[in-house]
Amino acid sequence: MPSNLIRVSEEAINLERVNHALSDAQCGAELVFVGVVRDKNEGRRVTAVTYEAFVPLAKKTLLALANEVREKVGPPLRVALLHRLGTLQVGEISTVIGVSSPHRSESYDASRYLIEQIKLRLPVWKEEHYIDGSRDWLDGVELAPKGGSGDTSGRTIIAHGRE
Amino acid sequence: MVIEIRLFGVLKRFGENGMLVLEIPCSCSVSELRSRIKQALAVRFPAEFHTALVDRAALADEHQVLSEDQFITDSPNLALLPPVCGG
Repeated sequence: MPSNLIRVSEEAINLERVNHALSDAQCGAELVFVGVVRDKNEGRRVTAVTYEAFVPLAKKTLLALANEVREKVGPPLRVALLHRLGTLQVGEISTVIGVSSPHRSESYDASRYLIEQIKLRLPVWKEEHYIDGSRDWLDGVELAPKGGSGDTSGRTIIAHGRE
Repeated sequence: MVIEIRLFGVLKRFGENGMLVLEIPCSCSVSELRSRIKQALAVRFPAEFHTALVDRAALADEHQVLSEDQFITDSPNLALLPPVCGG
């Protein structure tokens, strides 16, 4: 089975598929971060968020991040990085970051690294839809060339610990 | 040469169907392209466009964010990327 699952698409995220991608007899820890559209941002009531991406570069960025984190924490490490596009209602899953490793410390380190880097580097934009009918594109982090630096709430689910 | 630049997010409204079409010299740096984009949009959208929107955006192709001193010598899949907020 490939060691990375990478998706950037309008297809709804299937957590069973993520769990399957992370399953490995060598890995006693599996850690899945799920980003979900929440109903409030900076005091405004959100009804939905539209996500768009520069898809080819987004996929390439996620693959680069998977390789970076594997180099950082060491193999074996299975990685699942999924970002959904299109208009999502409150409660729908927008982002999944899944990792599995022999021990929990690699998974915690990898998961944290991945979400923080995704926030800085992934070419994805969010337009929030508000209860009064208005919509706004959110500001974010300016991208830099390599070598140069509706909101979601996240819940971390430890699927199993087999240590 | 004529190039098409894909626009995203807050910049999308300045293109047609999210694309900006520009004529540029055959050998044009990213820095020069950025200036030409700002000039073109300032002319087409004098009331709405602010140069900071392009100053804060990155020019990229499918493979990477481009640095200002790189040259655009043919017509790759270019995109103008506002500050990102994925995840």
